[in-house]
Amino acid sequence: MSKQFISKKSIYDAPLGDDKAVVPELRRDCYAVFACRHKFCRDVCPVFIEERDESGSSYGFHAAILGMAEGNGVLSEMADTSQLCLECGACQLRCPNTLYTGDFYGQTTTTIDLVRKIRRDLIAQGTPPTNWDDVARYIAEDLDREKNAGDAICRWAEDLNLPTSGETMLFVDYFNAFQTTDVPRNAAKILKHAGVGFGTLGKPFPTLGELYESDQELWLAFGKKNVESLQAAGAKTVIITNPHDYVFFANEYPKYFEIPFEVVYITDYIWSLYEQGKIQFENEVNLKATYHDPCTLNKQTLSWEAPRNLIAAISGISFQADDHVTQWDYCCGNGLNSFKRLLPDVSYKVGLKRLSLAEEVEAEKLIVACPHCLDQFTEVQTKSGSSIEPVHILDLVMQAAGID
Amino acid sequence: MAESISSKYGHYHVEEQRMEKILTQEINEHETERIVRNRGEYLDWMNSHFAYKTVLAPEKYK
Repeated sequence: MSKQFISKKSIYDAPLGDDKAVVPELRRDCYAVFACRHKFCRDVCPVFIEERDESGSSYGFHAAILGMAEGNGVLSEMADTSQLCLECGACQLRCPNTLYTGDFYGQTTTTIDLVRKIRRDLIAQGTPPTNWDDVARYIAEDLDREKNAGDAICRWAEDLNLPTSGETMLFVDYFNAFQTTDVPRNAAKILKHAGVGFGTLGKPFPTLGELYESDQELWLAFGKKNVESLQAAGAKTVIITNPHDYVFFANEYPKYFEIPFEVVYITDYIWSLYEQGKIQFENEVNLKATYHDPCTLNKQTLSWEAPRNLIAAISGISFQADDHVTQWDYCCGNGLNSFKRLLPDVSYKVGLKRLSLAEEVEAEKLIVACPHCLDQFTEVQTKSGSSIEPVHILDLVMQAAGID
Repeated sequence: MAESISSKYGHYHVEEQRMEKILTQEINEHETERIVRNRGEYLDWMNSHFAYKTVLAPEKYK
């Protein structure tokens, strides 16, 4: 069975609100972060690096709830500060409570879950995070697609003749299906080239994390429907093409229901095909490149090796990249869920900072392994005129393997 | 001082009943392994980036 990284605090189930007392267990939990004061969480936060606003750090969120518990504030006052989190996971990973003692005490810092909870509770009491309207429109678009898009959901695969069942299934979310269609198309072509028999769902259901932050029940219901559809299609292995979905299948859904099949990220799967000799890289790909670790693979699911292995296996790439630990405090600026729509200017600054780091190593291209990173860097490059061009790793695999 | 050594998923672990002030949470084996591996990687990273030598414990403590 594939790895599932379950870390769940049931104390988050009790809702926060202007007229609700903070439960003592949550108060004590927040005190554990407040009492630290090393603030390593602050120094690795890509948003803090740009904005220097401590209230958006893990320390800031926990201290704010502690303040509420002490009667020094109410939830609705967090409408602005609740915007300040990418949910990249750097702070909770670097927190000494997690990194040095989490396994020993059985208690870790779970800032992503906390920020989701804060945003969800703010929405529930009618005082949503500032600028939430843009996120709500985005969610409505996906929900509308679920109801009305019909065959358009699978248009990305229309000439690929993929079956809708099989022991191996390629799961393609709405973002890939509608916005970065080259990613699932390339994934499908590579799998076909390697002789892998696989199918894809005729109708996947929405997985967008923005919905997780606003309507957890509906988000989980869609998640369950995806899992049931994949199971009904005969899936024993599900290959994921969007690392945000990979986090949901590996970290989030298993908190609430069982995942009855193996879940693998596309780069891990392709690397295993390469190791088995089912795909060869015969063409040189001449370019000077660096690599950006998606937060979801590097900081949340320990899946940072396969992309680097694939890049190293392709001849011709002059490659210089910061190691994955250095990249704990990097992010493309998109964030896991709502950040880009909540704070577009800061999102741009975080992205531009990452492109400038790629310029420092004199790279021509920034290799990415996530469709959201690709989308974000493309936008930032266009706006800024940066010389660094983002390229998805599957494009390079296609070129190296000679796939059209 | 603990009277006995407790381990979970192959790593030293404080028994849950001793965690009176801060509650423990649901953490599975893979998440535990992730933390342990991240810790090792981070300490290696710290050594390779900031340490110019490794100080070993005196012989009598080995």
